[in-house]
Amino acid sequence: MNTQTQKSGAPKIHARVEHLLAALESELASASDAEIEAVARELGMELSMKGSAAFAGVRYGFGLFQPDDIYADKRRAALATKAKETREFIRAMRRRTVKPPRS
Amino acid sequence: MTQRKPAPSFEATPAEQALTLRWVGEMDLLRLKCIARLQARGLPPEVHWSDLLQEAFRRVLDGSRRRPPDVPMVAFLGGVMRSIRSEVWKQTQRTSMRLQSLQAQQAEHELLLGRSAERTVLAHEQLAEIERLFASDPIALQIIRALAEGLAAQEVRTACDLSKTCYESARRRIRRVLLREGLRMPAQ
Repeated sequence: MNTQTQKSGAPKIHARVEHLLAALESELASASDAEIEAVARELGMELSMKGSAAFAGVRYGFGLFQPDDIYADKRRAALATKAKETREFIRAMRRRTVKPPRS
Repeated sequence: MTQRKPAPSFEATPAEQALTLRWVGEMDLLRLKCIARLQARGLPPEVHWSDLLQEAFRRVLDGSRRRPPDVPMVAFLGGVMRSIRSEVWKQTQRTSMRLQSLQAQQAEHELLLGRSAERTVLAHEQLAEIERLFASDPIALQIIRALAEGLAAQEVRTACDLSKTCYESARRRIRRVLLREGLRMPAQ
């Protein structure tokens, strides 16, 4: 790479990144609670839970998700509930089944 | 950019401690998480956004960084993260230079160029990545490009020829995209 090109081009790109980061940082700092809550809801995150996935890497490290966090997404939670109900129903049906006497 | 995933930790993080001390609220933590993820985009892959965020909290907690009374905590911590970010780059540069002293003059020159070229490449990538987030929103993209030139709000509006309502609505969309990027799980 040409040293001269790097000397003239590099500071400009760094300055642009710095300007942009500072401006976007200030946008994020001014985001309202309602905006944050709306985005979290959209991502299926339950902010009222202490262990919510939204706080991963902030309030706690990674890899500590509880089933409740994973199922914070309502659609997935509904599917899990449905699956559980089905399993229970099958178990109940099996219990009721009268096995034929052995001859 | 591929980032290192830190090992799970069971100790209270510096951010959690600051929350306990009521220096920040839960929503502030999320704002800061989004800021950290935004800033970490242009860092070497070995530095995770969570390291940037927790290190900023650590410095405030141990008193090595003191917040001026008139600066809001989120803005202050954002500034601390920015300074850690440039420290990371200086550190990387110093490591390269130490390595260089052990090598021949030619290799030295190449290493120095290599590291600073890496930083420049990452800066280009970072800018492109941010622009890609707004690819489907031409007004937001226009604003992003104007902000990168260092223009202030009024100048951006004039340069992009936007009404106040249009500008404010684009800003809301920009915030929404940034929040989504900042809060989403890495695999999502």
